[in-house]
Amino acid sequence: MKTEHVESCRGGGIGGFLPSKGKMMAMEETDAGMDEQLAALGYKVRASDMANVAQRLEQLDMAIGGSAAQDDALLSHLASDTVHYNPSDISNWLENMLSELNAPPIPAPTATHPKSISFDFPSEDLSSSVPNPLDPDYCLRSDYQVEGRSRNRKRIRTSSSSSSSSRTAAPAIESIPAVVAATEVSSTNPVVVMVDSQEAGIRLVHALLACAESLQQENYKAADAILKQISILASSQAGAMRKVAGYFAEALARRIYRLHPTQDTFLDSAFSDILEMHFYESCPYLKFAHFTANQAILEAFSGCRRVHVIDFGIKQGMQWPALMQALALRPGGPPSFRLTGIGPPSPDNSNALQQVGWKLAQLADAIHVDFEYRGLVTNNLADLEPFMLESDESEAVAINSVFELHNLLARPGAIEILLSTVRSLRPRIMTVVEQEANHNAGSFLERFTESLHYYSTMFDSLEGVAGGEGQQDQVMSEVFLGRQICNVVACEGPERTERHETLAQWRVRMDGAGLRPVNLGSNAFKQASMLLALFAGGDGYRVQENEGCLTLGWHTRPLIATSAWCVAGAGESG
Amino acid sequence: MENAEEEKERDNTRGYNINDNHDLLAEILARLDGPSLAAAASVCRLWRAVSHRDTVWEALCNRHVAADFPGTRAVVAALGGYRRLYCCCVGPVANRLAVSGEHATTEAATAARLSLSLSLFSIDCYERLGDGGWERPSSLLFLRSPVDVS
Repeated sequence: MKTEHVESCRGGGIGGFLPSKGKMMAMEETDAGMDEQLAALGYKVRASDMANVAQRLEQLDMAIGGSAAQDDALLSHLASDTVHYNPSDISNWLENMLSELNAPPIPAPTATHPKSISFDFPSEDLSSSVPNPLDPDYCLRSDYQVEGRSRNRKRIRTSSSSSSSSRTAAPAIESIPAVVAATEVSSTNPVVVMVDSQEAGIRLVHALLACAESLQQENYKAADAILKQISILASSQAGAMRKVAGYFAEALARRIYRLHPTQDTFLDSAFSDILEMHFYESCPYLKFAHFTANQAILEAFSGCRRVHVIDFGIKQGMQWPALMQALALRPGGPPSFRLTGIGPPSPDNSNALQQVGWKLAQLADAIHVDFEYRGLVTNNLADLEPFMLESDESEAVAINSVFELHNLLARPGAIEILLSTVRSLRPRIMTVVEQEANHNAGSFLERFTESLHYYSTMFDSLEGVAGGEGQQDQVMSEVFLGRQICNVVACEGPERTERHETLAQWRVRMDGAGLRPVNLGSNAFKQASMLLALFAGGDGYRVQENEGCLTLGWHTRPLIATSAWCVAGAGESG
Repeated sequence: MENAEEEKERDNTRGYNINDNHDLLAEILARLDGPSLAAAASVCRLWRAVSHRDTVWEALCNRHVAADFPGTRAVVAALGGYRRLYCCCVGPVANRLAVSGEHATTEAATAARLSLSLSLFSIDCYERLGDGGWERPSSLLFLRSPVDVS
């Protein structure tokens, strides 16, 4: 009830008047003339005016209790500096109070700004077209609480309550639209704004979205100005939100100034491999991907004496030791195992693919699995031709793609070529692991909003990693994800390779290419659940089954999805 | 006579020294749990040698995870042995799952634990092969970091 809320306001001046409102609300239907019960308390209100007065009191409560609940300055101003005339005549007093509160303290020259960017986003705007990051299920484990109700006309106020960082505060009250024009003012009047961390979080999200929207409208000056605000707001946050905001701010800056990441692809891929290893170690996403895909492949290969696995992105080959061990232990003995590893060209003539193959061969030799390896170097998977893979009729083929397919969407037609190559190989199973998000949508703003939601959840899930070694892993994983963020936000055209699509979208594509889904069994689900239980943040991770596919997510949000496919019309696979 | 009888009694009560029969010692140690076995390894050089026998750790592992597959022993030996399997995988897995309240009671559950442990173990072994740029294998570190039980 509003009574409790009001009584929690600091500053004694106002609190005394308002608790009686509760009684007023209950007494709206009393008799005409002066209300007797209130008159006994000393308030003169006409009964006919009651509804009006009650409504005004609500407005006043929202105006005070909304933004300024913790603001001593405003309350003390209202309590002591404002002159109250005849407060027992409540309706007039309310008029005065409301007009006092609604008048903007500094006349903001918003008229000078050509395109008014509305920061006072009523939440209806957001929820209609794009997924609203202020949805109740979007929780970040940082300081601020997400509130469902819309906040109109928010202001940055000085707060004498303790904030996360201490600074000298020049008391200044501004409204956000004024900031845009205030860049000229700032030189004469250095404005340092202290913000309450809770509100700053929500303002931060709004500022990020506003920047994206102005970029969509190609208003680079405005975007640049908002970017400065973002960095101030971001530094008032802690934990995951701060890091995510940092990476998105950097990506936005790159987009504004059209700074493309340096195109040293060789060094890039080596560095990216190292980052990916740390990502592999610190959180369960890649392990989940490998274990579920391996289980599907193992089941598809049951009864086959010769098997061939084609890995579209062999990287360090971390997926295959577990499969080889499982094949070694299967009833009936291991099959002869052939692996084709595909990867990008490596720098300085060191043949990374062959080294991986050699290590795998050593392991296979130790556990007595007949093993053969071949490495294929290519920058573009669509260039693969069936003859290169040298598969013969007698062997069972499995194709594995972990976070590789979405890169092909950057070039039109490439994915169709690759999928038709896959079909011609007639695999028993094709396992696909992809990010469960739509970062390939039509407009930039939609992409931005969706990726903000997605990566915030990812970063939040990384926060649980503790300990010395773990810290380093966590930082490297964040850098790894940060590069993806940069690509999604700052790049366009063929450079933008992180074109994630959802499971539903992939289903349509696979169907169009003549591949039908294969259900991942409950063994995969059990193994995945057990694996997640081992991770320190175990209770936040969720494995879910989605029409035969498995998704791994953080709390309610699925983040990656494993699916399996085979050629439609072929015989049943294993 | 009294002296002879006393001497004979003393011989009998001096008893049987377990250190004389290593296989029997191994049988007994095989019934200990992980921490106790580690403690036993600190008693003396003989006990350390006996408790490092892989059969002892194999018995310990088999109590946690059912070993149905006949080839398991060969594979585990090739990947690094039961002692390492227990220390790196089976032990931490059992502890971590016990913390979260899951106890392996059914055969299916222990089989699942075995397969998960072996998968993780094979990854660990793979990392130890050759030095591809990492100082030490760390893919199993997530099992060693402290569990937040707050």
